[in-house]
Amino acid sequence: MKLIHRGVDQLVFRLSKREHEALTTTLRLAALFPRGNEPLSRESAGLNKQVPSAQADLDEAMADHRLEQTAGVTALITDPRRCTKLEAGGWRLTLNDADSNRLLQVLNEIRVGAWEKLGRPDFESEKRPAVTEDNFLCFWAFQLTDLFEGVLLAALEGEEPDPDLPEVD
Amino acid sequence: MPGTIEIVQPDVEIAKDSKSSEARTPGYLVVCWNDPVNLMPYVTHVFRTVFAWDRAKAEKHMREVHEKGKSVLAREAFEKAEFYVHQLRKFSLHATLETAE
Repeated sequence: MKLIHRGVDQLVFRLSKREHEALTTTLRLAALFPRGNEPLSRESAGLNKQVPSAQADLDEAMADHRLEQTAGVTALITDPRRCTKLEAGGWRLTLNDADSNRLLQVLNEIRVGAWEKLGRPDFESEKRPAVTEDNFLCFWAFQLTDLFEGVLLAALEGEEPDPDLPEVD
Repeated sequence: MPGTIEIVQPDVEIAKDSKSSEARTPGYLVVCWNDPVNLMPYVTHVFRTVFAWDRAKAEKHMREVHEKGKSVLAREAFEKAEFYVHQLRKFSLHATLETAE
């Protein structure tokens, strides 16, 4: 996945056939890594007494947001005007800033969900879990989200497209 | 004296405010905690997006999270602090709302 054009509120990426398959497969993994609710506060034990509805408000907002973002990305990936199959092979993905941030959020939600399912390991420590038949999809999702997020972040932070890059592989 | 206007100065009493500026500052902290899952460029991007910070400020807070375990991103009244926590959570960052002691 490579940035091929930058316009006003528009980023255009080129994906090979395999990259497109990897992206769509990764996005479908969201259902395998559902995320639970997290406490609103960590240190302020009395916060829930001060504002009793705050935790419920957060949980409801997050549930609604996850549904909206997943639906939005599904619509994006299946819209032939924004995710276009090229006759010469490969795909072209056209995103505005809102689309880019939505895709970034959904990918990162999958990444964090996979990490939670792995038992929240610290990959920088020596306690890295072994890859097994049960968890290989978590590792797969972790690596793939890393790849796609990296490309999106570089583009959102101003990376210029490579003018010599061909439109398709 | 005819034709002159007597100006009466109002009594001015300086309000005695025993509260310090610290105490008047809104009392909820938006805290972001370190985790081994979110990429550093991602965290910087989220801070820039949510708070409209420049890159240097966003990177400073990202490094504080990474090196010290947490960073206080904002001190606000409840509604605004809650809004920021919701926004950060939408990007899957480990952000919490804490009361300022």
